[in-house]
Amino acid sequence: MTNIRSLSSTDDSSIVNRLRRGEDQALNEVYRKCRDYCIKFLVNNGADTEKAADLFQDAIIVFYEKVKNQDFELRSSVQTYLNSICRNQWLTHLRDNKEVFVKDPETFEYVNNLTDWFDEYEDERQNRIEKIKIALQQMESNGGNCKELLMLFFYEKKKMEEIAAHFGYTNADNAKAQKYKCQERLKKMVNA
Amino acid sequence: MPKKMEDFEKDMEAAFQKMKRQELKAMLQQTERDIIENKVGIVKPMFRWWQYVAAACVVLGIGFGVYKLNLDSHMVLANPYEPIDIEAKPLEPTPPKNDNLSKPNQAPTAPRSFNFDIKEGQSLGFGNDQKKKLQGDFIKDKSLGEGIISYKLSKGKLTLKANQLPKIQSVISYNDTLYLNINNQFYKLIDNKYLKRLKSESDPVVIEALEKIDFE
Repeated sequence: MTNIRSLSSTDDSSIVNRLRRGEDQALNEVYRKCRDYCIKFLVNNGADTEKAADLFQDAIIVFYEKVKNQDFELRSSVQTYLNSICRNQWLTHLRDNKEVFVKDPETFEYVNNLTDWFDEYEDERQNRIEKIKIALQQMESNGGNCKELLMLFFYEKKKMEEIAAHFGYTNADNAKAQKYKCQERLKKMVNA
Repeated sequence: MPKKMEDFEKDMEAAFQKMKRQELKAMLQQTERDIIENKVGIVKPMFRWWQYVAAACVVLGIGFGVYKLNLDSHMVLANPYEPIDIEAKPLEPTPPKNDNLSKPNQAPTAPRSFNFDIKEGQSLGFGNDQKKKLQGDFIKDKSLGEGIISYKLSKGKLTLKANQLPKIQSVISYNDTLYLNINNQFYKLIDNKYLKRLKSESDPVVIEALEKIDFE
C-alpha cells in the first residue's frame, strides 16, 4: 500500500504563511509529504521516475509562485492542489511531445514559419533575460543591497513601505529613489 | 513609462523569476536526492510479514508432525524397575465368555504395531510418557471385557489393543511365552488371543521367569 501522507488543514495554512514570510525551507516539507502520491500518479500514467520527480519539482515551484501572490487563496489541501498541478503538467508534457501531422502543405509551412518566428523571438528574449541574470549576479558579488531591493520589488512584489521598513529607510520615497538608482545601474551593466 | 523601460522591467521580472526557479529547483533536487539515498539505505524486507508468519507455521507444523511420528514409532525399552505413576486398580480377571471375540456387528479395529522386539528374558516397561500416549491411541474395545487385553504376536512384533493398556507395567518374554505385568499381577498369553491371570505364587513358569530376570 502506498504511504499517502497528506497535510492537515492546519499544516496547510501554516505552510502558506511560512512561505509568504520567506521561509523557503517549508517547501521541502511540502515536497517530502506530498511527493509519493504525485509521483505515483505520474508513474502510473506513463512517466518514468526521473521525469515524474522533475515534473513534481516543477509543480512545487508553481505552487510556491502561486502562494507568493498575496491574492492567492488556497481552497483545497496542498496535496490536492499539487495533484491538480501535476496532472496539468503531465497533460502539457504529453501535448508538447505529441507529433502533429498536418496534411495540407501550405498549412504545414505556415505553422512551421510561425513556430520558427516564436522560437526566434523567445531566443532573443531569453538572451536578454540571461544578460540581466548575469548582471544581477555581478551586482550581488559587488556588495550592496541593490539586488535584494530589486528582488523584493520585482519578484516578491513588496510595497515601497515594506521595502523601506525592511532596509530602514525613513520613508517609501527614499526606497523608491533607491530602487530607481539600482535599476539604472543594472541597465547600464546589461547594456555595457 | 517608456516602452523600452517597461520591457526592461518585464525582462528583469523574468530574470528574477528564472533565478528563483533555478534556486528552488536546485533545493528540491537535493531534497529528492536525500529521499532516494535514505530509501536506498533502508534494507527492504524480502517478504511481507504474513509470509514470515505462514513460513513459521509451516515449520512448526512439520516439526510437530515429526515429533508426533517419533513418539508413535519409538518405544523405549524401559527399565522394569523404574517406578511408574499409574493409578491401577487390581484387575479382576474376566474369563472370556467364548472363544470368538469378534462379534458380527463389531466395528473393525485398526491395531497399532509397535516394534518391541522382545527377546528371551527381556522385559519391556511402559514409561510415563508412553502411558499418556498410549491412552489416546488405543481403541477401547468393551467387547473384550474390562481389564482384558488382546494381543497378537508374530515374529517379535507385538500388537496390542486394549483400554487397559496403560496399566501394563512390563512385558516379559520367557520360553516363547509372553507375560504381562499389570499392576503387579501377572498375565499369561493363552491361545494367541487372551491373557490369563496367573497366580505368581503357584505358577512355576512365572516364578521361574521372575527369578531369571531378577524381578521382584
